[in-house]
Order: sequence, then C-alpha cells, then structure tokens
Amino acid sequence: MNIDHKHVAVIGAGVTGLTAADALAGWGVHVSLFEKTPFLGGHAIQLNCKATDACVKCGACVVEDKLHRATRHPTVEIHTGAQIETVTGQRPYQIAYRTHSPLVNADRCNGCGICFQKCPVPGAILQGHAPRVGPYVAIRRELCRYFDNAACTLCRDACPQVAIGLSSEAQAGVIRADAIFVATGFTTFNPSGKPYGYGRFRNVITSLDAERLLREHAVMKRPSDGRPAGRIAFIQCVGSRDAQLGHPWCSKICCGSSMRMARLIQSRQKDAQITFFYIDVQTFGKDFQPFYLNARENIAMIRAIPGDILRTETDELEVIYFDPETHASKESVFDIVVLSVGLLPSGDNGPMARILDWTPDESGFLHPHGSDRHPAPAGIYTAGAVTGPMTIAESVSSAEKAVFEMIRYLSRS
Amino acid sequence: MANDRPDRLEALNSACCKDWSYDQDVCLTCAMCASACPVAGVDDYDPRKMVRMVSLGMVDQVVQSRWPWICTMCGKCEQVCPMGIDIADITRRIRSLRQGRQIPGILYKGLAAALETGNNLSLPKEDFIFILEDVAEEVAGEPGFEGFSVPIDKKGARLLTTVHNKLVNTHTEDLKPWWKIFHAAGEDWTVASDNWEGTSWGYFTGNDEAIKIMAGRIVENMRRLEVDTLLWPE
Amino acid sequence: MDERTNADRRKQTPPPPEVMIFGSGACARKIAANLYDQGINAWLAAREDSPPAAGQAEKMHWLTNIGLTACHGFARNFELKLTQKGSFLHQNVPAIVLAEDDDRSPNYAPYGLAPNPRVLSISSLEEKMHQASADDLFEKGARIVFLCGWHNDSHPVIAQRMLAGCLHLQSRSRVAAYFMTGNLKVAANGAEAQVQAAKRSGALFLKFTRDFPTIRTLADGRFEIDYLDELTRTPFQLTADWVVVDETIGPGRHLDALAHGLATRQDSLGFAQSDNVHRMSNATNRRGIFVAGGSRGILSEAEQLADADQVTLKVLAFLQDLDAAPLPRVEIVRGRCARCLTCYRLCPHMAIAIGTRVSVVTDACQGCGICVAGCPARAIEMEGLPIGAEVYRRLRKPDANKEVAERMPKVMVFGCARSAGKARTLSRLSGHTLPRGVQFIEVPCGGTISTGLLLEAFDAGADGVMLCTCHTDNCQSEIGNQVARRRADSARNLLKGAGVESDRLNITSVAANMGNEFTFMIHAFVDRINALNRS
Repeated sequence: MNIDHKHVAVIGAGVTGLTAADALAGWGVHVSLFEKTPFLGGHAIQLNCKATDACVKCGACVVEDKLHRATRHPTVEIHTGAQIETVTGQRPYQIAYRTHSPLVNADRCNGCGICFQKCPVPGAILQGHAPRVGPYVAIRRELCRYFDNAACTLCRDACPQVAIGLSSEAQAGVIRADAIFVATGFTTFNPSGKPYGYGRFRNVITSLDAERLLREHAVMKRPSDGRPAGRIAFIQCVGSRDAQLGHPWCSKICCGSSMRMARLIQSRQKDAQITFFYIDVQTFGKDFQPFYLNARENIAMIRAIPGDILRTETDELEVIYFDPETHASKESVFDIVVLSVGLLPSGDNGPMARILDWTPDESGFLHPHGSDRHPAPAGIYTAGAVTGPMTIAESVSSAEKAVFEMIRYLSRS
Repeated sequence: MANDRPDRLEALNSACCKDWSYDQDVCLTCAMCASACPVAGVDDYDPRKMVRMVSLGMVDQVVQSRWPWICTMCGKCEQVCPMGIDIADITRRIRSLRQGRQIPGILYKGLAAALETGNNLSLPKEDFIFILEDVAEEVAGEPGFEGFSVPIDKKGARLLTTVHNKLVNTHTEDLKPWWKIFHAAGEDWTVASDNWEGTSWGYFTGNDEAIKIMAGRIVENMRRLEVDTLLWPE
Repeated sequence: MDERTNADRRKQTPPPPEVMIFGSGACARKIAANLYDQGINAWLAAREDSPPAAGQAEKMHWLTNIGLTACHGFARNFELKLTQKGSFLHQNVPAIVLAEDDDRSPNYAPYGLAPNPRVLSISSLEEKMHQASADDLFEKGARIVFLCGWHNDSHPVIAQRMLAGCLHLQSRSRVAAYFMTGNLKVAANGAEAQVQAAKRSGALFLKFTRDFPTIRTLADGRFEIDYLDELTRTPFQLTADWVVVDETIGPGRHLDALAHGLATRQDSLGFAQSDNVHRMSNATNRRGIFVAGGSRGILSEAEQLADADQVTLKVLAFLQDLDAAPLPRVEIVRGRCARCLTCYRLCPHMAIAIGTRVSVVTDACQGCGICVAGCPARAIEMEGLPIGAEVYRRLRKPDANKEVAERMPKVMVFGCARSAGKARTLSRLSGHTLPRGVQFIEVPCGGTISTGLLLEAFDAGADGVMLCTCHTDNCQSEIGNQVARRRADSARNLLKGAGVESDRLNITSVAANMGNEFTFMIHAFVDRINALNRS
C-alpha cells in the first residue's frame, strides 16, 4: 500500500484519536493531531488503574501506552489547545484551525501541585500528559474562573515557579488533509439539576471527581475536610436511561467502572463500607461473573435510585431512598456520595457536524456512517465515544476499524 | 396485597389503561419516585408499586386500596421520574374511579359542602365578610397600614385572589402578610364574597365534573367583577 | 492443494504473502476478502464438509474438512500440518488468523427445563422467524415467555437478540409476549430503545433479583410458571404455550484443539486469547498469530464483522513490518548451552527453536528475557539487558553528598518497562522524586530478573531490593510476573537462611498510569528498610 505521502487530520487526542494517530503513522501517513484541551489522553487518561492485586481489565493503563506510541512518531504533529474553524474542499480538505498557547509554561513548571490545592474549581487544573509537547500541568480554559469573570488568579499567585500565565495567544493555521478522523469523544452529564445537591454539598461528587480524588490521595478523603471517607455510596444512572432529559440510553461503562472503583477503595481502605444504588447491573465481559459475584458479597447492592440527599448538622450526607427490603423509606448516612454520571454527546458535535457537513443521529452522537438520508462525506470517519458510549477497549477497536476503512480509502484515492 | 391463591397473570388486562394519556409501561422500576415520595411506606403505599399495578392491569386492587388517598399529590414523584411518567395524574385517575360515598368521609363531606355552599366550611357569606373586615381592622391599626381596608367585591380591580379555607378559620393571622404585600405594592386587588375558596375539592377527589364546576365559579367571579388577572395560590 | 492459476496470482511481484485463516463464518470470510483486496491471498480452512454457498468463496482459497495436526515454525514461516479426510496437507504461511465462530448453547437447566418442542432457544426462534412469515409462526393469542439471565447474568449481545425476538413476535404476530429477566442488559447501542419499543407494543417485562420463578412442564407440553412479583409482592401464575431460552456464548467446539495446536494462550472461558489488556484487540501471545471475532470473545455479529477489519489492519501491519521492525537480539551461547530446554518450557511466545542447536527465533521473540533469567547455565544473552555488572556499578557509585548518603538506605528497584518504567516516568513528570539512595533499573519484563540477580544486588551493598511487575493476569509475556514472584520467593528463602530479614526483598505490582502510587510504594519500602537498618 502506497499511502505514505498522504496526510490525515485526527481531531481529538483521547484514547481513540491516539490509537488512530499511532496506527496511521505506522503506515507512514503524516498525521496532524488536533486536541481542544491543553493535554493529550482525553477522559481515559484521567482514570485510575483499578487493579487490586490482580488486573481487572479496566484498560486505563492502555492509554498511557497509546500516548507514548502516538507521540513517538516523527510524522505525528500535535496541536493542543486547538479549535477547528472551517473545513472546505475535498480531496484534499482544507482545514483552518486556531490554537491557544498553553497557560502553564512547561519549562518552568516542576509539577509541585500547589496550583491543584489552590484551584476552587474541581477539574479545572489537570495533570496533563503530553510527552514532547508539554506542559504537564494543564489549565482548562472552559472551566477556569479567570476566563469566566477574570476574578480568580489563585493559582497564578501561588505558583512558586511563576509558571502560570493565564493569558495565551491565539494562532491561526491551515492544513490540507486527504482524510479526516473525528474522535472528539463525549462529555459527562452535569448532575446539578438532580436532587442530590451536587455543587452545593462538597462531598457529593461525580465519578470523574472520584477518579481525581483517588489519583491525588490514593484513598477516598472527604473533599470538605480531608477526613478519610469510610461510608461511600455510588448512585448509578445519573443522567443515563433518562428520557426526561433526552438521554434514554445506557452509558454502558458506569456500572463496571464504579464497581471496580468500589473494590479498589476497599482494597486500600479495609473498613470502607460501600453501597451501590442501581437499576440493572450492566457490567459484562469475560471475567465479569466471578468479579460481580465477589463484589456483591462485599458491597451493599440496593436496587433503587435515591430521591434526595440532605446534609446533616455534622456535615454528613443523608441519602433518602426506598428500601426494597422493607418496602419503606429509609435514610442512610454517608461520607461521600459518588454520582455515576452518564456519557453524553459532546456539545462540540453540533458545530463539528456543521463544519463537516455531517448529520448527528437523533441522540446527538455522530454515527460512523452518517445517516441513511445524509451519508457521511467521503474520507471522513468517526470512531470512539463520539459515536456512542464506549469502554476503552471498545474505543481502541473502533479506532482500528475506522483506520482500516480510512487506509482503504486513502489507497484508492 | 398478599392473596392466598396466586393471581392469574393472563387474566389481568394490562391494556385496560392504554387509553390513559400517558405511558406507564415505560417504567424502568428504578424506584426514584418511591425514594422521593414523602409518604412512601405509609400503609404499604409507594408510587412505583402503584404504577406497576396499573401497568399490569391490577387497577381494581389499586382503586379499592387506601393508597390514592394517602398520596398528598405533591408531584415530587413525577418530577424525579426519569421516564417522565405523570404519576400524580395516575393517582387522580384512580381517585376518579371511586366516587360518591366510596371516597373518604372527610373528602366526601368537603366536596359536598363546597358544591352546595361555595366553600367546604359552609361558612355563610356574612360571617366571611365579618372575619375579613375584622382582620382588616387589625391591619389598619399597625403603623404604616393606616386606613387599610379589604376591598371585597371591588368591580374593575386588576387582581382577584382566592382564599384558602384555613385563613378564615383557624389561621386568620396568615391573611395579613398577603394583604400587607398588596398594600405595600399598591396593588389594585379584590376578594369575592361568594365562591371564594381556591381549594379544588374536585381535584382532591379526582372528580372532573366538580373541578369544572368549581373552576367555573371562579371564572364567573372574574367576569362579574370585571377582573382580568387571577391569583390562585392553591 | 497448490492449484492456483496464474490468474489467481494477480499481483505477482513480489509474490504475495499468504495467510491461513481458520474458520468459515462471516468474520473469517470478510478477513479473506479484505486481504484479497489488499493484494494478499488467504487460505480459508473450514471444518465443514459442505462447500461454500454461491458467492461466498470468491477472493479466497476455500479448504473443506480441515483439521490441524501440528504447527511448527515461527512468524514469517509457520509450517502447518493439516488433515483433510485422512490425508495430510502441508502449507507454509507467514501469518495465521484464528476466526472460528463462537458456540451458542441454549440454557435449559438454569431454568429447570429440558429440551422440548415447545422450548425454543433464541437461535432456533431466529431461524423460525427467518423462515416463516410472522403470522404463521405461532397460534393467535399464544403466550410466549422469554427467559433471560436469571442466575447467570446475561450478556448484552444475547439480551439484544432476545429483545429483538420479543419485539418482533409481540408487534407482528398476534401473541402475548412476556420477558422474564434478571438484570436487564441494555449496555449496547440501541438496546434501551428496543426495550421501550417492546413495552409499547404490549410485551410485559418482569424483573427478578432474588426469588426467581419456578417452571413446571404440564402434561400437554405447556408450562405453568409461578412467581412472586417483587414490586407488588403478589404471587402470580401464568400458563405459557412456548418458552424461549437465552444462550451462553462460548468458544467454538474446535477452538480448543486449534489453540493447542498453535500454542496460543486461552482465557478462562477457553477463547483463544488470554484476557490481558496487552492483547488489545487481536494479538495473541505469539507473533504472527492473530485472533478475531467469535474466537476471541463474546461479540455481536456486527462487532465480529468490525473485528474482521481490525484484524486485517493488524495482519497488514505485521506483514509490512516483518523486515523493518527492530527486534531484540537474543543469543544462546554455543558451548554454554546444555540443551536442558528450560528456555523452551519457559518461553511464553514460543520463540525457541530446537534443531541441531537450540536457538531463539528473532521473528517470534518479543524480548521479555524470561529465558535469560531462567537458564541454569546462564547461556542466553540479550542485547541491552542489565546484568550483574550494572547492578554493582550503580550500587557502588559514590554519592556526592557522603553524609546524607550514609543516612539513607541503599535500595535497588527493578521495574518492568511496561508498567513500573512508565509509572516512574509519570511520577517524575508529576514532580515526585525518589528518596536518595534509590536506584531504578528498567527491565523489559519482571521475568527478566533471576534469583541470582536479586541476591547479587544484596551482595553489591543494597539494604533492600524491590521488584516491580505488572499486575497479576496482565503480563505482556503472560507469565513474567508469575515467574518473578516465584524467584523473589526463593530469593527470600535464601536470604532467610543467610540470616537476612526477608522483608528486605519486596515484590509488588503497578500499572503504567499509577505514577503517584508508584512513588508512595517506593517511599513506604524505603521507610521499612530504614526501620530494619535501625533495629
């Protein structure tokens, strides 16, 4: 196959985009990898390894591998903080983009982590992972308060290395690409509207917040006071299987990842009591049955979704739910409540679809082949969670399949 | 609801409520409604079970139970329902299937009195006016409200407000904050001396006919007093 | 069997490499067609006697009645010994794909049922629906009960087929469908919509968590089902005319023999790919042997076809890289080798060739170094592998700050490059530093470290030695972490015998993305050694 003179734009550097970039570069294809955030790895790189002593096949470590592989190719050109502005023409496509320079000076940052402690917005500062391109600490403009009302400069003021700038220059560029690989991933549901006090009670957190907590402390500590959390509840399907919100789908990954997280916490905090509120347990896979049976022995499984969370005078969380055992209302007290938030189509899908002359399906995801009435434009492929909720393993498979189709297209055209 | 002999599933007509305007079949049995319900567990009631029984076709059992009358119609269940099932409306439909002497006594009496006299207390018009004027006098005695009077049956006012029966019975003090706000805001308002009650006893009892009559009376008051805005706090 | 005409050899120069595909289902056929389109001819080794249906055998060389007797050789040149109706066939191929269909067996026993004309498996129902028009399938008003995932949880792949069957019957045939299920598996795109459509069309869904129904077969062949409705706590009874049971998806009947013949590792269920994230998506423990579709796990039909594309990509990349890929150079030193064949038994990648001399086959070797550490004669040498000398050099290197160095214990950490090595990098990039006195040596696999090397580290002056491998069940070389554990155990025993606290040698596991945890573990170990030094 003679495709080593071809040029492909990969949009999105999560696990799907990285897999694609690596595979394409392996064929000698020149890849321009565009990433909206200042770091590579997407959602998947924010996840913890869930192994207790044995691997539980969560796939989180795979992302690290994909990242190293994709960034090692000299033909992969990385643009972080990038936004696609327009896509015109075809064979080749002309892609106009804009990049923002990173807010953290990678040469100065020594990763001390003081900015993490100072930042009032969970998730606004992330440990980024971008070998060769840096920086290792990334501030996300879309969450940072400075870019909201310019009032907050806590991280900048606290940085002992004077590495944080909070102002960035935009740069415009244009590339020509023979094909486009769209892997812009998903977004997670914001549970502020649910009756669980998210955003008001500091110890009510989302699954992604819980990942960050575990990454920072290795154990679960209450965000409100740093005390170890011994009683933890997981509430499943927050924003999934919800026709009212227009998300009638199951997000597929949350039961498995929450249950793995629960077992990980228990392996590190022997006395942690974990309660799992669910509708239907949705995990599956080769080793699932023994894992699930074992988890069930150690986790209180309650088939009911709570209706309310109140904060007690002693700053604990009182979860009110209908107890299927006693058939009556029950209140249970927890230190931390983790909301397993659903996977939603990214807000970028609409604009991206318009730019690409694509039609999202009725749920808002970008189906790999467009729709019947409006098939996908030639040479544009979508893969990974931009097409629907997916595990890490499924995202890798999906990327590989799309790369094969793309290579076929490139070798024909 | 335990029976000695098992029910025959095929004998139930799960399609019996299909003409109801909402779709209880979509229920995921997630129990969020039951978790949110303030009276769940009382007398074995929970909204999920009720929805389930209705979708199975066990409507008769639900109608004969006390559950529809335990529900306070607060609507929290349907607010949290991820599938958008109109649960409070199911309760209202169920209530409507039990009428006359079959509804709980206090509701039956309230409904009968409201239909007959315009309010469930059977409070005569003169007594109603006397109570309002008496409270108005007390308000007028407070600093800043000098000269306050209650505008009963004021033709051409901007706003008509209904009155909860509690306010002219045991909680007359609670009339004052409303009135003070109207006064301070310079509102041009009025109260009707007939059919002043806002509480819909038809809604309580699931009696659509009674709802129509009571709502009709309030509309008639607006027409009579030439008011175009209604404040209906119930 | 070499009957190809010149017309078949379309892209002749250079001669196209050929691939052997085991399997004859949709996935296998698609792989062959994909490869053909890229100029590569493939053999399709079918178990069945029946010739392919019209239009199914284009673009591939179809072999029927094929059994595998032996597979010698290595990537680039596998020598396959096949049987065909009692005679032997030999074929050499550079690459092999295992793409046998999975096996779907109906679940009767879990529901207390025996095979019976009125008990249909979901496959037989699908067949029925395929053959007859919807109206003729069942008598009008028949009650059909679907039994799905009670005691053993279902899988979305099966649940989706059950749901499709239920929806089809309820909406097209005039029957009453009941769906009795445990956890309703809707974790597949479109599954929730299927459930809602089935419910709207009138199918009744009954969910159970603990008390499952009992089913009695009546004299007339129908079924009496008794259950307690969990939500209403009402006992119910239902007479069903037909029941449809779900299936368990497992490896195909011949997969076991094929996996044995090809020496590929299997998972706990018997699929021909170990459940190891390093295998993602189509790799096996052997270079040049790939696995796809129903041979590697539980996949829906659409996923199996997608898998055909994925594996094609892998095969193409493999064939392209055969000559280009930089491979580790491992050599067995003539004269030292005693032909004990420990290396052959240990090698998880089947890379040891036994000929007039024993050698490591570069094309098959994945450079884990397990053989290097395992060889009792120390006859195997691998380029770039740290040896004793490196350990001595590092531990005896004088520290610039003598005073501090004397207070801190000397600790040697050996870490697998796939996990600990990356975690170490991550930890460093996150601003963490290792305590002074800690030496970190990255090795290709935990299995590279021999018992002798662990002891040598102590001899070189280490106060503590730590061996950091991948987590259990996730070794790229399958057994590297297991042999590492065994060697650490025996080294610990030897230390104990020599009067050294066995706590001074620690073996632990970590993942590539556990930078923080890696740092914590090293610090905790150094603290422990400190305490031992003081006592």
